[in-house]
Parts: sequence; structure tokens; C-alpha cells
Amino acid sequence: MKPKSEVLQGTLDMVVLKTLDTMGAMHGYGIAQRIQQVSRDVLQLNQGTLYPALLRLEQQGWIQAEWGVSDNNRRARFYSITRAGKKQLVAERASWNRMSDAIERLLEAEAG
Amino acid sequence: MRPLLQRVASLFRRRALDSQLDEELRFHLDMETEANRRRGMTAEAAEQAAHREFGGVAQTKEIYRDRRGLPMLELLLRDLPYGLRTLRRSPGFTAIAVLSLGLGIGANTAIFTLIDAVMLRSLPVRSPNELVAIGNTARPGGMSFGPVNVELFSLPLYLRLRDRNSVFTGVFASGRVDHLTVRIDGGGDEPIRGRIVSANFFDVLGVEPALGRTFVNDGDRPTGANPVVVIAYDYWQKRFARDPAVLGRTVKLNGALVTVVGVGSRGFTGEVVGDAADVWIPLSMQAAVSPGYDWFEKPDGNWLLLMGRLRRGVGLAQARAQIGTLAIQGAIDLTGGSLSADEARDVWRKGVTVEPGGRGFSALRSQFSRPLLTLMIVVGLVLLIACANVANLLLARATSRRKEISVRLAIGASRERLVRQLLTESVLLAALGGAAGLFLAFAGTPLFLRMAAGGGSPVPLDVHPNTAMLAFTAGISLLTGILFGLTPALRSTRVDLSSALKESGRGVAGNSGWRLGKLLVVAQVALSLLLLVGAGLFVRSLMNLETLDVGYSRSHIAVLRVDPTASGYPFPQQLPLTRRLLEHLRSIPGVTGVTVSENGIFGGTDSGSSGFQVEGYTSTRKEDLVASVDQIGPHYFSVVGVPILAGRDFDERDVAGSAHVAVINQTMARFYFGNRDPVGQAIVDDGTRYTIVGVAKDMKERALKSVTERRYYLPFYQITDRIYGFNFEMRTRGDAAQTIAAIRRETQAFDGNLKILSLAAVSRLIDQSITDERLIAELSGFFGALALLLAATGLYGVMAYAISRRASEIGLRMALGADRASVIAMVLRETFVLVAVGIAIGLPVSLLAARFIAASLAQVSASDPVTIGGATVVLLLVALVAGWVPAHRASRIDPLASLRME
Repeated sequence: MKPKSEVLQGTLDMVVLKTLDTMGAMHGYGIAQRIQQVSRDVLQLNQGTLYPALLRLEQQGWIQAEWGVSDNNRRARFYSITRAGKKQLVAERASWNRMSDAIERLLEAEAG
Repeated sequence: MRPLLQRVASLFRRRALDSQLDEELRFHLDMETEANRRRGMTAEAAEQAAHREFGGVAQTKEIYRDRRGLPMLELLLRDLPYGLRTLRRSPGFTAIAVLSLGLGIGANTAIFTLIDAVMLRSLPVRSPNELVAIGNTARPGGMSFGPVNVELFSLPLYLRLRDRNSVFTGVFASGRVDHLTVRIDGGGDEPIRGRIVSANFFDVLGVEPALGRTFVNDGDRPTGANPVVVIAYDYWQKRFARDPAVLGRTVKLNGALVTVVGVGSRGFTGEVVGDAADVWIPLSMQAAVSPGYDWFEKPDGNWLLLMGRLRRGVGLAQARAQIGTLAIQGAIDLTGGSLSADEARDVWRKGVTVEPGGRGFSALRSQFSRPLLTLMIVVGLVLLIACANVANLLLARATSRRKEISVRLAIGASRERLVRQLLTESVLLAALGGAAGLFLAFAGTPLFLRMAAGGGSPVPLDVHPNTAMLAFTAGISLLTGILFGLTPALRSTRVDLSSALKESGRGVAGNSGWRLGKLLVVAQVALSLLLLVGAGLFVRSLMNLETLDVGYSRSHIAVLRVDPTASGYPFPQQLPLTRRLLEHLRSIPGVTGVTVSENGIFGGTDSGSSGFQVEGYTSTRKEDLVASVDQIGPHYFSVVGVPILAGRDFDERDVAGSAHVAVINQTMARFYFGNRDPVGQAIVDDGTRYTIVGVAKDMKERALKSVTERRYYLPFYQITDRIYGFNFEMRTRGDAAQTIAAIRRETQAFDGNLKILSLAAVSRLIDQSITDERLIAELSGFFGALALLLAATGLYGVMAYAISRRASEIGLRMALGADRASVIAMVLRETFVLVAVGIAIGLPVSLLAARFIAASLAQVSASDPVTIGGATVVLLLVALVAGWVPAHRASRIDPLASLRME
């Protein structure tokens, strides 16, 4: 079994935003499934932490939520990304890239 | 901002949001379970796996809720009912705690209200921070005669400053008008408080009328123009029941007909704090409402204070520089060159006071600032003692709640959560105390104002409840709640679970709580001693003032002050009038002697003289040739009861045309003549030579605390200059206060139109001169007693608690042969140890603190052994009583019963 990494708080926001950006409106369960699918065996999502994260994103105005009907005809809450959310995603991605570059360079230098 | 708003909004939809969350999470778990079953799990295993995958559902909900709303507030809302229930379950504890806190907080609120009203609050006008006060703002009711004055301004000097300055967008002037009466609709004379103001008064302050208009800003000229007034909103409400028809009504103010043209804005009582005005009269009407006194064009009548509004971009320093120059130059110009270079330099050196004016003028501010700040410290300490008391009660109660707390900890409540719950309870207590305190303050503040008035009418100060007062009370209550609640809360939740649960709830653990309780009592004793010593010093100082030898008998002299000028007597008729009135007053039964003076004893006015010569005395220092002066009638000293040490009193010989004579006081005699006999020597003033015919013993004429000034007296009927004050001193056979009614009756019988400015026993006048001393002595005495009571309660509580904790030990001692007396002695000994430690700490602190009030004490040293000894003894006696009850109870413990309980 490969080692699993916990999703960091800040990155979880980015991952959720990215998921909604790519997939359109989804319910919480769907988002959790998708994140685990895409990153299978690497990112270990504690599903319970997803909902407070969704609330935080909603409070910031980056996503919006509304009640709808799921594939199996049940009432579910669907989340979708807002324009502010898209902007935030771009910003977070840029800062993520900067950060990972920096860490990469640091590790390279260490190794050299 | 947006998340915050959402959070607040969510507070109101908690239930709906909770069920939404439930539904959302259930959906998630159902979907997961469903998926697991499709993978071939049994129904039960599928659901368990779904939960495992998800993590703690309850935790998630908790985190979610925390983030959704304002968790602190929500917890508070949940804790409050619980706290209320707990408090209701122990009504005795709650009552004592709320009462202690109520007294402490109420005292603080009351004193803060006074401080706010006198010292802090800005005038309710437009941008008060732009206002600048010019002159001695402590003398809004001042009036002085003389060539140059830049403490108060004459009208001509004001006009110069108004027209020549470039630092203000406007500057107004205002002055006093005394003994104003109004006649409305042909009714009788009613007293009314007024202020004479320049026409731009409302414009400069930026006060809009609530009704009608304010004054037309026409430059305040000529005299007699604009017979109109603006009345204050409060007065409109009180006297006219807010009838809009008041506009256009004509009323008689001191006999002058004026029309009401406007009502000031609500809450605006004028620019003088502590002297709320009912009516504003334009400068041009000054002479009309003060019959016989026309200061209008007089450069030597100084009676106005000024206030300007700074131009944008102009600083206070710039205004100060320009106004200083203008005022002094103006003063010199207006005296027409009669000012000597020396005098001009003097004025220049003294300078003009130009300071921020947003808080208005106030005579109270300088008089009461120090006493009020001292009292604020006093009530702060009282509150600390009350806090210690409640903390002690909480500590004791925590013991009885140990089981409850242990159980709650055991079933999983976090300590933080419990501390929060306990703190909620103490803040709740403090809030109840705050509410009680607010109530006490409402009742107490007017009482303090009446005390400050020294038996006169209460100081007209706005002490209505306001936001500052409510905010202060709320803040101090919250702080108090945390202060007394935190330590007991932390302490009582630090429980060793297993031992606490095993115990029957009576055990010996929590010794540290008992130690803390002792510590609190020691602090209470020390603080109480501090307050008692302070109160003792103030009370002794007041007693010294009240019994001070003033040089005459306070209770056997009545003083009648009349105003013949305002009553229609022109100056030439005034002296004959006084002779007739003297005769009339002499016939009153119980009056054994009558005389007259310009200033007299504690009449509130004084005259000074400078630049005179004393024959046989030379000095180059100008301040050596300064003295106070009074003009007094025949037999003044024998009527007042002051001995003549050499020479003679004035008598019927000393009238216009006879030789000019003077009597000097002892201080003056000693200063100029040393051991020589002054009788026969002379004072030369303005070319007139006054032969000294007598030396009178020193007496207190103006203030009790000040050093006696050099003073000389001239005969009332020898002077031909105009006299401004008419005081009749009457010696009475019995208590002067008993004769006041008869004097009033006879004065009215003599001339019903003669305006009586004041009539009172000298003892009363003197009392009114020491209202600040009385206020601080009485209040600190009261608060000292309160502190003592609180400390005694604390001591009693701690000892009673200790006894109840040690019942078995005491029972054992008694079983082993200790008798009751020795048990009582043991408990009392422990009480005394606490008190002794408190005193040992309190004494040096008191001695140190007393030094700070030394300046305001009269004839008592800050380390007065009687006061300090007395305070210590009182404290010990009270401690004895507080300790006796628990000691006695301890001695009644039944050894068998207490041992059986083990």
C-alpha cells in the first residue's frame, strides 16, 4: 500500500474549487468521490472535513449552493463555482505553483 | 465582512440550518452506504464502513456549526438559561453577590456620571473639537472692575478681538446675568437662569433652533436693539409644556419686555457646564435686563468669556499667539494709555488663556476635578473589595459544586467548556449587579448633586442616563464578572476526577481554594484600611474646617444682601437708603446689632487694592503693596464680634467730610509695622491719606482654607465712589438661622420692591464655601463604611466556611478535651491572624497613599496617628464581630455527630 497524504486545509479549498470548475455543479458526495478518484491512493480525504470547507468557501462567496435533485432522485445540495471563485482559483494556483517551485528548488539544492 | 454578516444571520435560522445540514450529511452517508452495498457488503457493514470513511459525524457537525454562526455567542445563549437556573437555585448566594456588586458598580457609575458630566463630555454642538475657549473658563459667572483684565473681557475688547482676528470663522462672547426673574402673562416673578450672549452665539456653536429662529447676527449694536430671547428646550418643556404658541409671546425679564423668537435644540443647555441656562438674552439687551448696570460700552467692566471656532487649517498654537497679542494690545489701547509700562508688562506676562473649548466653560470643573478623581479611586477600591467578596463566595460554592463539576467532566465536557459556563455565570451575576448598580446610581447621583450644593438648590448638571454612562456600566460589569469569576472558575475545574467522585462531597481536597480565600480576605482588609484611613482624614479635615476659629461666632450672624440699583434707587439715594434700613433692621426682636459693608463675610465678592503707599515702609517689590480692602459701616467689628487689638472701631463720626481713616487687620499690621504701633500711621492711596485708627484681629472673610490676606477697611459712609455691594450683617441673640424669616419679613415691610439677593446665616454661607470638602468627606466616609461592611462579610464568609470544612477536626479536638472557650479562642486567633496580616500590609500602603491627598487636607497631617489608629481599631472591632459568629458556631459543634459523619 502506497503511503497516503492528508489533504492540507489550504489545498483542499483549491482542490474543491478546481473540481467544481471542471465538473460544474456537484453535491458534496460527488465532490468527495471525484477528488478521491482523480487522486486515488495518494490524497486521503477525510470526508467529514469537506462540509466545513464547503461552508467556508460559500461564506467567502467563491461557491454557491442550492438544493436540487440527484441522479437517484433524492434531494441534495448542489455546489457550483462563482466568478469570484474562478478568480480565487487562478490566484491560488499561481501561488501554489510558486510555492511548489520554490520547494522543488530547495530540495534540488539540498540533494546537490 | 460578508462572512460575518452571514454568521450573524445564521444565528436566527439555527434550527432550519441544522436540519439542512442533517439532510446533506445523511444524503452523503446514504450514497456511500449504497456504494458499499453495491460492492457486496452486508447492509450493516456497508453503513459502518460509510461512517468510518466519513469520520465523526457529530464532530463534523460541531465544526460546521462553529464555523457557521458565532460560536461564542451561541454558547452564551445556551449557557445563559443554565446559569440563570443555577443562580435561582441558590437565592441567598445570588442576593448577597448581586447586592455587593450592585453597591460597588453603582458607586462607580454614579461617580463616573459626575466625572463625565463635569470633565469629559463635549457640548452638544457642531464639531466641538474646533471650539477654542478664551479667558479664565473657570469664571463663567465672573465680574471684575478695573482697567485691564484678560481673564474676563469687556465688551469693547471683545468687539476688537471679534473684528481683528483671522484665526476664527466666528467668535462669540457670553456673560452672566444674576438674579434674573421672569414675569409671564402678568403672573408673579419666577426665577429663571439666563445667560447674556452675543448675537452670533448660536451660529458659532452651530446650534439650530428646535422651533422658531435664533438671533439675527447684526453685530450686537446698538444697546437696546433686539428685545428678543431664545429659550432652552428643557425650559420650553418644563414651563410651556412644549406649546409652539410660545413663539411671539412677550415676557418681562427683570422688568424688560422681550419676545420669545425661538427654542434651542433639544439637549442644548448652553456653553456653561453645571449652570444650565433657561434663556439666552442678546448682548444688546444687557443694560435692559440689568437695571442700573450698564456694562455695554464700558472698557472697565470685565465680565465676558469668549469662544471661537477655528478656521480650517489653523492650529491652537496659532490662535493662541494671535489672540494673545490682540487681547493685550487691545487692553492697553482701550485704557487710553493710562496703563503704566509695568502694568502692561504684567498683563503680558500673565498672558491670555486660549485652550480647547469643546467641553464648554465651567466653574465646577476646577473645583470638583480633584475631589471627583479621588472619589473615583475610592469607588474603584470598593468595587475591588466587592469582587473579592464575590470571588470568595464563588470559591466556597465551588466546593459544594465539586460533584456536579466532576460528573460533567467525567461525561466528557471539556474543561474549557466548563470554565466558559462558570464564567457565564459570573458575568451574569455581574450583569445583575450592574443593573442593580445602574438603579442605585440613578437614585444616588441626584443625591450627590444636592450634597455638592451644600443645602442650596442642586447643581444644575445634566446627569440624565446617557450612552457613556450605560457603556461604562456595561464595561465595568463585564470586567468585574471576569475579574472575580476567572480564578474560581479555573480553580474549581481543576479536579482530580476519581477522588472527587469517590468523596462524599465534603473532603479535604481544594486546600488551595481555602488559601486563596484567605488571601482575598487579607487583601480586603488591607484595602478597607486604606479606605478607612482616607475617609478618616477627609472627615477630620472637614471637622477641622467646621470648627475652625473664624474669628467670630458663625451661628450668631445673619447676612442680608440687597441690590438697591436693580430696585430702582439711583446712586445718590443708596447711602441714605442703607441708613434707614439699618435702623429698621435694628428694631427686629432678636437682632442685637446691625452694620453694613460692601463685601462683608463670605458674601462672594472681594475688592483689592494695589500700588498704595504705607508711610514709614518702603519696598521695591510690587507684590508687597497689595492688599484686600472692604468698606464697612459703624461698629462693624463689635457687631461681627471681632476684637479690636489697638485703637478703635469705626463709629458714627466716620462720615463724608470728616478725617479719612482706616482700620487694618493683624496680618497687615504685622507685615508693614512689625512691632511698632500702627495706630496714627497712614496709608496713602490715589493721593488720599488714610490715618490708621485701629487694628482688628484677623478673621476669615472669604475662604476657610486660604491664608489670611493683608486687609484694610475704610468707612462705608465716608466714601463717595459708587458702591456695588450692600451686605447687612446682623448679630442675633440666638441662632441666626431662626431669625432669617423675621429679617425677610421686615425687609419686605421696609420696601417691598427692594431686591433681596441673599439672606442666610453666616454658618450657612461658610458651609456653601466648602461643598467640595463636604462632598468628598461624606462620600468617602460612606464608601469607607461600605468597604468595611463588605470586608466584614468576606471575613465572616471565609471563617464560616473554614469552620464548616473543619467540623470533624474541631469535633475531634473537643472529644479530646478542648473546651468551648478554647475553640472560640482558636477561631478568633485565626481571624486575627488574617486581619493582622491585612493591617500590616494596609498600613504602609495607607501612609503612602495619604501623601497624595495631603494637599487637600485642612489642619490634619497625612500621617495623623489618631486617624490611623482609629481606623485600625474600628477594623479590628468589626473583625472581632465578624469572627465571633463562626467561632461561636464552632464551639457548638457536637463532637459525636461530627465524628460519626466521617
